[in-house]
Amino acid sequence: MAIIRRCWAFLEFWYYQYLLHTALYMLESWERTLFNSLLVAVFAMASYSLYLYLPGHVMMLVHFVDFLCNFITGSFNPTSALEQTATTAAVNPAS
Amino acid sequence: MEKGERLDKNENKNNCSLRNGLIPNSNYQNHYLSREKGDGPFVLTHEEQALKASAATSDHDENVDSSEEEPQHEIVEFFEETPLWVAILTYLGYAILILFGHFRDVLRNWKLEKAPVAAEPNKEGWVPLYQSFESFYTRNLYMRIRDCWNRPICSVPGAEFNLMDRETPDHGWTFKFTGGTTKAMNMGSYNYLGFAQTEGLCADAAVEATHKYGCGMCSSRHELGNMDIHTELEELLANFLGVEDCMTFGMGFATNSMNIPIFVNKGCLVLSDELNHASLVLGARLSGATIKVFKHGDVADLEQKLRDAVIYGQARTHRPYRKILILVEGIYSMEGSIVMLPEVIALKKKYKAYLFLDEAHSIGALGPNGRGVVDYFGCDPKDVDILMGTFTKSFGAAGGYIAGTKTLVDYVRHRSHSACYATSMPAPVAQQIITSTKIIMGLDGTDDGSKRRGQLAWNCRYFRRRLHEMGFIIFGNKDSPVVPVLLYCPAKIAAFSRECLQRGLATVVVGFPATPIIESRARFCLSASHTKEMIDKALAIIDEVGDRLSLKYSSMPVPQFSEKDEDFKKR
Repeated sequence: MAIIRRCWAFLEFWYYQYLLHTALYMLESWERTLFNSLLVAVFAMASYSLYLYLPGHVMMLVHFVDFLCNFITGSFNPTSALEQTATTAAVNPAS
Repeated sequence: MEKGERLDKNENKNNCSLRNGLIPNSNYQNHYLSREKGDGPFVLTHEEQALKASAATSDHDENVDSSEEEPQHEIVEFFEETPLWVAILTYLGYAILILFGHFRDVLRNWKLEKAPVAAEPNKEGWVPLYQSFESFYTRNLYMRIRDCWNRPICSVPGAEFNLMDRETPDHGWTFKFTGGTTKAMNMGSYNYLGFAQTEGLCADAAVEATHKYGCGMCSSRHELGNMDIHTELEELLANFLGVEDCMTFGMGFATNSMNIPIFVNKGCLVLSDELNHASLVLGARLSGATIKVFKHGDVADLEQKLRDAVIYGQARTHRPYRKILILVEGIYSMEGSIVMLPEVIALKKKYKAYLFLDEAHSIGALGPNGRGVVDYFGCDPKDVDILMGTFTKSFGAAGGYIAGTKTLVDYVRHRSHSACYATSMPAPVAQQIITSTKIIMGLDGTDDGSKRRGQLAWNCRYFRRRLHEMGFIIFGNKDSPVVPVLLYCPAKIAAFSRECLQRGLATVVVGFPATPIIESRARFCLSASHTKEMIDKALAIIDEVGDRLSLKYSSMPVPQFSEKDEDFKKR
């Protein structure tokens, strides 16, 4: 099918560009496999860590910004804001 | 320069020192494009802009007033800067290759992998032999893509030739011939005027000379190797170059390396361009003179070094240098740039230095009469003290010459190491040069010479213009037949060579150490034997390969020269 052929040509072109610019084109095929596996492993670890920790960190950031806004406007309840941040911090590392 | 000759006798109209490479008030308008850091790829300084504006108006007047004035020569040279992202990717590529190089070296060291590499003996207390970067580079980078170089050719290196097919089962360590041949277009041989032919006047004359003299000379010039054909050749060349006398040698490299030591020695100063050829560098080093290097094509830097040399003299004693010799080349083969000859001559006259001009690539290929860079600028050949050139490129032969005044050449005949120890030029080769020079000069009665020159000049302009329009980064002067196309990334060196060969175009690619490490390039040498159809076919292949390898890096506006320019037609 034409679409699959175009997709394949597109991917093949970009893989070739990747091989040229990282100089993997000059390496033997087992060296390429080794480098690609290392790269995939690094990406996998990075994405897993993102999945685990990013929501928690984003929530912490949101609460902190909230705290700051309350602080600036003057009508803040320091205990409750701090409690919120403390409880969130306690929850995250455990998960 | 004769003793006692006064500087003001020479027609040197400018009394002020040269700034930014401009000569005000001269016939020769120089729009030399300077590369300042932080500016775009090419920027004219305010002076140059003013000069250009005045030239635009004065050009018109001059053409009206005197029609016998030679056309204004505009120097157009580009050395576009490396784009930042390309430099980063190139360094990334080299970093990965170096990492893997170390990894493979470790494997080889621990005997986990055996490789046919010269092994380090690893003796206790002995200094390691193969630790330098050059050695590392050869073992781990060059060997992987070695099939792009040293390709055996089995036909005459004309516009098309046959390459022997090879395969490498172990990634570049050993090669085996498969037995087949590939026919490909040749854009890498130094065949500027197309004299690499098996038929024609030159080949017939060379065959006759072989029948008369045989192949070998069996002696050096000082002993019994000095033949009448050598005298004939030297007289013809002296006539061709417009000088008093000339001497020829059997090998072009040896002409430089063996003869520069007879002109300068300890106590003299050699000012050599940054990108001079290995033969010039070797000759200068062998002589024992002090060597100072000036930036490539930078006349202001040369002037500064000359001033320092004249003012401060030799290193510790401050005695004046016995001689100052400026070494420059006509065309630099890795950059395609042409030396600013009128300015260098003006400098040498002002500071009383001598000029050695190596016209290896420019003799025959430049100039309206094919007489090299001196002819191209319309300078007087007597202004250049030592004219040197080789016959390999435009004459389809081998060997070199040194030309100048009779006194100089008599001295060279006496003292040259080549004349004393090296065998003289073989007769068939000398005859090839004689016949080809006669064709270039038009002495054979046909217009073959001028047709060849015209075709080469047209090819240069057309090829360069089309490549600029396609978006490649090209270095060099618009009139130079050497066209380096920048590749930058190490993998693209091999990919370009292989992809072009697959499509029927054989190219020469160059990397480190012949070029700076990130500026690897493919070097095209145009020839008079390339017809427009061949060049169009080659350009189509280069376009296709350029798209596939994403080589179209240029971000500067397309230069406005072409083969249809007025000044080109008037030559």
